[in-house]
Amino acid sequence: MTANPKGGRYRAWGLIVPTGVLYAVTFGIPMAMLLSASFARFEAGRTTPGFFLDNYTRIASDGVTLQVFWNTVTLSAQITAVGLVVAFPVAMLMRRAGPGMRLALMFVLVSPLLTSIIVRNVAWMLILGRSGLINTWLMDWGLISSPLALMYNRLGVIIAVVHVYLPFAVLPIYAALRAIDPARENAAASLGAPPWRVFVHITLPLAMPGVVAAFTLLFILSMGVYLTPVILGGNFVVTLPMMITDVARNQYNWPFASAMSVLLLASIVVVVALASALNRAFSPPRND
Amino acid sequence: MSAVDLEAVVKRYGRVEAVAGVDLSVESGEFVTLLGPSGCGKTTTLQMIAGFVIPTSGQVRIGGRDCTRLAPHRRNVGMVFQNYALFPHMTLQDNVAFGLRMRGVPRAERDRRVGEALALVRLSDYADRYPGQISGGQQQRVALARALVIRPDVLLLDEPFGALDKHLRDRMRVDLRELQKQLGISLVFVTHDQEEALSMSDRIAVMEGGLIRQIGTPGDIYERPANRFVAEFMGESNILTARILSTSGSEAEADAGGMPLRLNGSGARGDAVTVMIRPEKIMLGRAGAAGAGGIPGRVAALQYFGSSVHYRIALDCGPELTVIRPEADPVSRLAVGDGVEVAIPPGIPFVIDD
Repeated sequence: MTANPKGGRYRAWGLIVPTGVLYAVTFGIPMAMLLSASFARFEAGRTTPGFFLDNYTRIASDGVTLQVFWNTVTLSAQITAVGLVVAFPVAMLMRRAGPGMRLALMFVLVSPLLTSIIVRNVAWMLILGRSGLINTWLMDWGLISSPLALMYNRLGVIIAVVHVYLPFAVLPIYAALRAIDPARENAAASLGAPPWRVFVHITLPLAMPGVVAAFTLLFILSMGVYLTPVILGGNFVVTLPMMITDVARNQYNWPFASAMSVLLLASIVVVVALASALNRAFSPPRND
Repeated sequence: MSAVDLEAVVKRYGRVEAVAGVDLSVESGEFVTLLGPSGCGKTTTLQMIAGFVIPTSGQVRIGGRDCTRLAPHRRNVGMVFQNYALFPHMTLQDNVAFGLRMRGVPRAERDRRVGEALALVRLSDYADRYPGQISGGQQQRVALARALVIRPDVLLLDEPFGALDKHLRDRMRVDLRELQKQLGISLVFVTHDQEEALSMSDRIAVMEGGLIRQIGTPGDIYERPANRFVAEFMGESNILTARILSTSGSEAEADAGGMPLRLNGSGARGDAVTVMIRPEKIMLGRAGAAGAGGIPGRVAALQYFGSSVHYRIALDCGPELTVIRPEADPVSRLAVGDGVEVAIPPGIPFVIDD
């Protein structure tokens, strides 16, 4: 490489050719097709290719799509917020735990990912339902007189989605926490900071890159949830992916479904841009 | 009043005794160094003073107050860490101000004291920089300013110069010692470098296996080591076994494998004692040269160090000695195989515990 840096650089680029081809075929081409489909016209069950803005005008004006989109965004924000709050203490525990305990925690964390989504959601129905585990217990103990509405609403969806996506939040935060030199926290303590101020002034700011990564992953994954709101949300929680599926599969209106998909993708691009801006804001300047 | 008192302090991790019973008093304004190889318990001892480690038994007092189980943030202790442990997301100004903010010092006074502290370490012009933008030596000085600004009862330093290059290290030594004297601050310094310990400390505690093996002034420790461990750890030494032939007062005549010695130390006739001789105190002359008049031997090996030359001398009567002479010494033109004569001034051989 040193003898021929230019040739070396080309050779290095050669290494990504297989991945590049794979991405072009499985990502680039479908994306281009999706984008072009979103500009097609759908009339009386017939699709006319071309450059029409019908679908986007409809999104902006039908009063339903934007409402569902906004529901999806706020649901994702709630899932992300709850997920981050739940994940941070778990990541802190993993940082302090011994290797055995850490492995056990890791296994418990990823276990939902190893379970079928249907099985997992049905299990949550058994726990959260009107005569489910939680309500039965609470009523047996006399803490409540009538069952709480734990599902067929946002709460149930948030609980179930946080459950399955928790590892995507815990792992980046844990990695960021591990990278913090404990001497920095000790230094703060020796300077007079009680534990909570060490956390606020040192641990949390230094873990921000992990929190931003966790935020990005949780938000993007939440924007795409489909089956969990179908099962645990009843008909009361409608997300954009649910609407896209309905329009594409039941109404065969691929152009409109494509336009909604483009909207979903665009919002994810905004989230990623926001995350990288946050990351830049949180990384202190350095010279080397 | 003493700044820090450790009384029979023990720290056990499972079955391992990291610190096996340490007693130490640091006087107000005193510079005490904990010196020892890695794993000797010096850092654990320091961390018990700071409060990061709670002793298994024993007592830690800071400024006369029992702090054995007190959380670190409730002690008034300044600590400088090996890798500085600066807060990378804060400017130098904010790093130094941190301890004052935690103490609720009003803004105006805080700014004034931070300014003074940064001036003390000659970093006033860098107040708005971040730790990632300055050099290692500058980071070191920020860490020092940050620990000093809170006016701690004692300043603790854990191998603070380990990451610096030799030139910078030498300079920091002088700076730290001057600063400590100027502020009259009590200081506990941890290092494995005996030169660092000798050149800076009022007193040195040499540690091994979780115990203080000897405590004293640098002169005491170097000239009059209590035992073989201290003698060997504090620099080059010749350690010989000798048999006492006769004694008179605090001096004794002895024989070390055929080599006659006049010892500083006493013992009964016929006793076997361990004797330490510092290599730079041994006189060396070319065989037959006028005024040599010593024990004959040969140069077995030599190492050139620039300012000094280290010789390995095989004596005709058996023992081998290490001798260090300044490079400027006329005998320094000796070569391997040359015949030499060695003289050990009376009182230089020192009896130590084995």
